[in-house]
Amino acid sequence: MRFHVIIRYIGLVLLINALFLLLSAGISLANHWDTGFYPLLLSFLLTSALGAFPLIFVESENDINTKEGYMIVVGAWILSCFVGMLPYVLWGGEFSVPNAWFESVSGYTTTGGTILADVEALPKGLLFWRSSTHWLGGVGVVMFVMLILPSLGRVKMTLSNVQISPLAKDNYRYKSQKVIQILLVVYVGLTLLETVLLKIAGMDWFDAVNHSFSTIATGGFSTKNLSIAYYNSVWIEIIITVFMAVSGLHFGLIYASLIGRSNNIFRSEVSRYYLLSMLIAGIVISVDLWWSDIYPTLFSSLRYGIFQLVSVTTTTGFATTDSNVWTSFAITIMILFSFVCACAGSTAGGIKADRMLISFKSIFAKIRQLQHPSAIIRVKMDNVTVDNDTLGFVNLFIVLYLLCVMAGTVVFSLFGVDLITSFSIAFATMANVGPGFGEVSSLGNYGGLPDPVKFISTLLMLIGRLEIFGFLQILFFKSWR
Amino acid sequence: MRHVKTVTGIRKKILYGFVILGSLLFFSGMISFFELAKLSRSTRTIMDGSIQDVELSKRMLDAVQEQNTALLQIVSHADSAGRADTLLMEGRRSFEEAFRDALRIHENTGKLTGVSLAKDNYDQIVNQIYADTVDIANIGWFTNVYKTSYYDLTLAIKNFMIDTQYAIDRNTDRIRENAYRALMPGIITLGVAIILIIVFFALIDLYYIKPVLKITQGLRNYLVSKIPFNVRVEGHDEIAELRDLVEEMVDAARRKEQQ
Repeated sequence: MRFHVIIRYIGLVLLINALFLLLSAGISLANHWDTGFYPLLLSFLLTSALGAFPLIFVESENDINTKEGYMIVVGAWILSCFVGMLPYVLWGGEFSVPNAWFESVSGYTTTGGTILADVEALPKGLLFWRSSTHWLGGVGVVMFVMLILPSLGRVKMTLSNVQISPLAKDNYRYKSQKVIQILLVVYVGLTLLETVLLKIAGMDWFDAVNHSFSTIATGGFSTKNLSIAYYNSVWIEIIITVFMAVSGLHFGLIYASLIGRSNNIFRSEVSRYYLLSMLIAGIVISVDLWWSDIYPTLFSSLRYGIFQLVSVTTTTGFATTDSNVWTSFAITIMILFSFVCACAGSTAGGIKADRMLISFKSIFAKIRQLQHPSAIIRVKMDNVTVDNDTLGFVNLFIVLYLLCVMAGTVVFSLFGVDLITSFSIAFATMANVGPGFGEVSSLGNYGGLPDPVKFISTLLMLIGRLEIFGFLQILFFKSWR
Repeated sequence: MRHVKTVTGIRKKILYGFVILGSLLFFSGMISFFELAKLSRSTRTIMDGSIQDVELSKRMLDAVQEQNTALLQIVSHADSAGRADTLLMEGRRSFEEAFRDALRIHENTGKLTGVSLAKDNYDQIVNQIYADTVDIANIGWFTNVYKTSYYDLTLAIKNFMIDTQYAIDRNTDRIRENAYRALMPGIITLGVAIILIIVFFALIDLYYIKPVLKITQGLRNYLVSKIPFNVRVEGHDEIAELRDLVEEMVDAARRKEQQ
């Protein structure tokens, strides 16, 4: 493990962050030199210095091993969160150090939970930086899932198997150049397309860019206190719903569909399961809301029901209404879907539809095995057999995931947070959803929680973002060297 | 033998390191200085504004009191030389002047709305007295109409003064926020500078100190025990060139010894 090589590449990532800080400072400057300018400028200088320093001494290295690659990604993530909080801390206002750290981690992990009671009080430059952390974090997620996890090896890092081997491998094992191509085409392309569509639907350019950044990264930061509810526009909601749903698909699959490869979204079992289950649940919730007289018409029930469900399932966290007032049935479905979430290879968090599907299939396989003890029954995904190691690790992942949520709930309740809110924080941060229920509902915020709860929440965000095992590697790094 | 084509080496790298650290401290110092200057300016503005408002309130209160004294003299027929009229006119003029000054400063703030309404009412009553259209000897009118109007006006002026005091309290948060913004760049830059100094030391140790020690040890091993010179160093700068040259020299010496 070469420390100097790791810090060189972390430095490069920090320079990308610095570029966005400079862009944000430019927006502050254009916005009549608002109060965000100096905090952003100084943060740019500090981040540039931190990023450029190793580049002076350490020469470019083409031969980076997988462990170093893993450390680069994880290190870059944590340091990005650190530099990301600098403009907030420097600006002050509602941002104390714990609040700034929370906002930054929430941004980079694409969680989208906020501590701000008044988002609109932020200067434009800082709002842009906030959305940029989502977008940059989203790029990091895609890189992590497509480049690092698959290369970590079968035995040591079976998580990659969970995400790749059940599906057609050829489509998912990309070389780094290919990943950049995918990122450019899919990630940037979707962002640009959504920005233009939101502008046409009635948003101004600034809001359109910010909301596109949040949507494609499945983040959830908005420039308005009322989130998407502020616009009260069906067209804006439809556009955002579609882009949230698309951003929950495997980016490699979207790319494969775009270039006309055979293994595309429509042939993937996981994608079909993800889209269909979301559609059915959305309709069921909407009918329940209409039936319970929460909304006067079926159309408005569909409008709010589907948007909120897609927002939670894709772990985005945008809101068009306060789902706290919904029926227990609707809330329960929402919570279930925020556990399952979207597909692996997307920017969404949570257990992932892939794992759930494999887990369901393994349960059915087990039942059939019990009925026919001598039969050889295999679990298949897209006609590819899923090996027993993968099955074991999928189930282990789900158990670990639920354990983390339970542990989080217990710890949060220790600090005097009520049970519903504690559970909400645990699942919403672990799945990188952002808003939950109780005090942290879709139109609420995390600002009123005790500081230790905020810190532990950020830990859960990182654990969820790094897919549990990815985070645990840091704790057991000595044995991995 | 490998030659370093350009002087990309030690001096330039160390210089760049120091330039980065220096510029970081310079710019953060500049930002802190700018924020401190802004803090000083805004504090001065707030304090000046507050003093000015208190002064204006005092002038308005004095002028109203002057008018009130003159009216009392007129009502009680204590003014034999007609000095009360002059005093009343003088009081009105002083009040108008102070009110105009206050209005100029707080034109669109709405802070003087209360004073303006009470003033209009009071002026109307004084005009009535002056025009002799009311029975000023009537104690009921004096208590119910005149006194109420007088108290309304003085109360409005006092409220304006109190509002000014509250504004200082409200502005304290702004001052505190500005002070925070002036202080934080220094603290954060210091933290980052410490990190950079540690990284700087670690890199200098890795690229320059350790290789020099390794080359020295390798040379000593050869001279004392004839152990072949086999030293690996990071980078392609003067240190690497030094290593190559030493290796070449050791090889030449070995070849000579073998002959």
